[in-house]
This record gives sequence, structure tokens and C-alpha cells, in this order.
Amino acid sequence: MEEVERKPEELVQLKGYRDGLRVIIDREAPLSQIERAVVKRLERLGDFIAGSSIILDVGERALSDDDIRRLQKILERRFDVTIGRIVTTSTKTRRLADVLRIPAVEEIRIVGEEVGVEREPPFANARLVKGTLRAGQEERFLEGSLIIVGDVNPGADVIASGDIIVLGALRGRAFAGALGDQSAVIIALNFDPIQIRIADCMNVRPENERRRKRLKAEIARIEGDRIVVREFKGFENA
Amino acid sequence: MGRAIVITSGKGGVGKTTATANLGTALAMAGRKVALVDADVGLRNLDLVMGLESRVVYTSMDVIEGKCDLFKALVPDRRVPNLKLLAASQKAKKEDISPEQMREICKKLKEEFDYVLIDSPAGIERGFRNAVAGADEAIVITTPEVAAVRDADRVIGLLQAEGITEIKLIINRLAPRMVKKGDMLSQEDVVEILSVELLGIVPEDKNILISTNRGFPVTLNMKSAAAEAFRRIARRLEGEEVDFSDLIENGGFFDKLRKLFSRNGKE
Ligand SMILES: Nc1ncnc2c1ncn2[C@@H]1O[C@H](COP(=O)(O)OP(=O)(O)OP(=O)(O)O)[C@@H](O)[C@H]1O
Ligand SMILES: [Mg+2]
Repeated sequence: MEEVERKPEELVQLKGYRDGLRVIIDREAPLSQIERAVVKRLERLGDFIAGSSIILDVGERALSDDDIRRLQKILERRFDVTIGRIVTTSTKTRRLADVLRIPAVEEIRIVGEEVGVEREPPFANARLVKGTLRAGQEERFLEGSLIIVGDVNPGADVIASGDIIVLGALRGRAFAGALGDQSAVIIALNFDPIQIRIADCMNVRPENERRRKRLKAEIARIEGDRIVVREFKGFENA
Repeated sequence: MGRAIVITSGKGGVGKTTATANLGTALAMAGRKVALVDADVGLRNLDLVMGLESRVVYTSMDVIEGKCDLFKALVPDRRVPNLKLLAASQKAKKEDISPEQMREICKKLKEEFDYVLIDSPAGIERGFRNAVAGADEAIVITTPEVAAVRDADRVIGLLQAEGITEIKLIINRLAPRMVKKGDMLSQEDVVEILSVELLGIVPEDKNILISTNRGFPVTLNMKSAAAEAFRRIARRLEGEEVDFSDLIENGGFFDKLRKLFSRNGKE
């Protein structure tokens, strides 16, 4: 009897750490299922991970060199992501990784708190960016929240695993909860984005909506299965 | 030591060459020594707009190749004293010139002239980098259109990355009637997004087209709205405080603009 394929979220976990995105794969499921789950999970992150390297955590799983190559190929071809390190307790996997010239370690010294998946208190780990982000510029922080002291102009992107706070006008794109944190919020003093995303949800500005003029702080968060934007009245009742 | 200012935009056809010719003319008429540098290699037309095409003998390429001394390559404008042009080669490619070579040329010109105005090509590629290399300051030109403003914003980011902090804005071809109808961004919208110091606004003016074709910059003698705007811009560039009263279209705008202006100004 064929086993029912488990959900991608169960087969592949994503966690953001200070030194990069950690992709933790299930210890038992067949590799073809893992492959599909990796694709599903990373696809949801959008193209912002392109060009980065990830940490592949396989636990005690003994991978063959073909397995490693297959995962490597998917990551590189589809997402332009390289495997920066493999974390495994299996000596066999470590030896094979060595042959493929991928650094492999038994346990990883965790640099910084785990972020992304679990909710952290606001500003617990935040990066402050001073100055306006202009068209073509991007600010990406996958270890917590981003606070932009300036505007985010049309054509600029802000991506954070936690919250995004813009102390200015948000007119470009913002992607909060980029590693899947559904409780992430986006706050801007002048809220006028072209597109916002929180975890798996997305809102876009209607085609012919005119730019809004009013300077009003607003907060976007997921309520139910969609993003709702409300006036921002401070953190107590946020 | 003079000031080297690149006039750039990102988007093509928004008025870089027109602005270079007219600002240069206005500054020279005010008694300054001005060198205009055409950095739009391969597509030169600053000489045309200035009406100096027939008198170009040497280009910046000849200077770089050592065929001609820099100061001998400059074409003097006979109508205005102290106004000279360094033409670009029409045959050369952008890659034939390096940023270092442009820097060298601008450095030498700055020793002799009060202003070195560099007419940049459109885009953000090699030609743009060459044009920017020798500049200490930049004037970014945009029209009140979404695409032009987006490119201007991009260019401002790139200029800042190049270490150019003195960046000023000219909004060209503003047609108040179209703004009112909502077919164009207002000057207010543009300044709000780009948030750099506004140097001036040049209205849409058919005299520009006529003068371009005649090789006679409007600022030379014409009484046109655009000519007046360029003269005011030249005065602001000189550090003079010229009010923006010429821009008032609808009440209240001037005040808001002044607020933005002082907020983003250098003070
Ligand atoms: N204020 C204006 N009113 C009317 N027409 C204008 C105005 N400014 C520029 N033009 C016209 O727009 C056209 C493009 O101007 P110009 O050549 O100065 O742009 P450019 O930015 O140098 O272009 P390129 O990117 O091709 O170098 C010209 O035909 C010019 O006459
Ligand atoms: Mg031009």
C-alpha cells in the first residue's frame, strides 16, 4: 500500500538564523518526496533567495552522493541557491559531502537566536536601515525585523523574516514573514505600497488606484487567510 | 577650481542635452567660464543643439588618443564669450573611453573653467559611468511621468553609490494643464518621491524644439518661458536664492514646495 505523501511543511522545515536559511529535511521520507517539498517550500519564498546559500540539515539521514547531487541540482537550477553547508550526524553523509566539496559538520553552532518560524517579541532582533531605498535597491534581512528610517520608493524591495516598519512612506514592495511567519506585520507612516506580502499572503495595489496622499500610519497583518490593512494606533492594540 | 556637474536622467529623451546647452549658455552669459562636455559618445548631438557642429574638428577621442591637446580640441562659441564645447566622437564606442580618462579630462578642465557641464547619455551602463566619473555634483533631469521618475530615482541611488552627494533635480516639460487633468504627475509628487533639492522646473515650451533645430539655445536671447526657467536655474546653481514664484499655478503649492525644499536642502 502506498503511503500518503505528507505535507511539504512537515517534510521540509525552514528556519532563519543569523548565518543563513536552514533547510531541515525529513529523516525518513523518500528523496523524491523531499525534492518536491523543497521546491514547494522555496517557491513560496519568491525569488529573493536567489544568489544566496543555505544550510542543509539532514539529521542522521544517510544520503547517497546521488541524493546530494539531486538536491544540489534542484537548488541551483531552480532557485539559484547553493548549499553552503550540510549539517548531519551521519558519518557517511559527511564523507560524501567532503568528496563533493561541500563543508559538512556534525552540529552547528547556532549563531544568534532562531528567528522566522516562531514569533519573537517586536524589535527583539531588528536591523535599522537609515536612508531612503530607491528604485532598484533592495534590503533583505532574514534574521528578524527591518526598520527603515526613510522611504521605500516604487521599484525598491524590503524583505524580512520578521516585521517591516517603515518610518516614512512605503511605496515599493514589502515582504514580511518571508520564512513563513504568519504573525509578521508591516507598518508604515505613509502606507502606499505597490505590493505587500506576509508569509503566504499577498495584496497588490489595484491597477488604476491613484496614489494616496494622506499621511496616515497603517498596519498590515494576516487575519484569517488574507492581509488586512488598518490604521495603526500604536503597539498596545496593534 | 571649477565645479564639474554631470547632467543625467536614466531615461532617454527627457532633456539632458537641452538642459546642458541652456544652462551652459545662461552661466556663460552671466560671466562664468563654462566648458560643455558631450559624454554621449556615438550619439553626440550637443554640438548640434549648440549650433557648433560645423566647427567641430577634434573630439574627446582625439584628446584621449593623444592626437590633439585638450584645450585645442575645445570649440569656442562665438556668440557668448567663455563658452566652449568638447565634442564627442561619433565613430567611437563607449567602451573606447574609460572612466579614468574622463576623470582626467574633467580635472584639467576644472582648472581653467568655473563650470564643467557633462551631458550624459541615457541608461546606466558604461556611457553613464564615464559621464559620472569626472563629476563632483549631479543634476538629475526628469519629466513628470512615472517611468522617467522611476529611472531618475534609480540614477540617484547609483550616483549616491558613486559617492556623489550633491544631487539636484530639474523637472522638465511640465504642462500644468495635464497635471490638472491627472495625466501627469505634479511637481509635488515628483519632489516627494525623489526627495532631493529642487533646482527648478522647466515648462513644456515649443520654442525649445524650434531652437534645437536652429542650433540656437533658447537662453541666448529668446523671451520664452523655458529660457526664463533655465536662467533662474543658473542663478540658483550660483547659490543665489531665487524664489519659486514662477511656478505657482494653484495657491498653496508654493508653500508646500518651499517646505519640501528646505527639508531636503543642504542648510
Ligand atoms: N521643455 C521642453 N519643451 C519642449 N520640448 C522639449 C523640452 N525639453 C526638451 N524638449 C525636446 O525633447 C527632445 C529631447 O530632448 P533632449 O535631446 O535634450 O533629451 P536628452 O535627454 O538629451 O535625450 P537623449 O537621452 O537621447 O540624449 C528634443 O526634441 C527637445 O527639443
Ligand atoms: Mg542627449
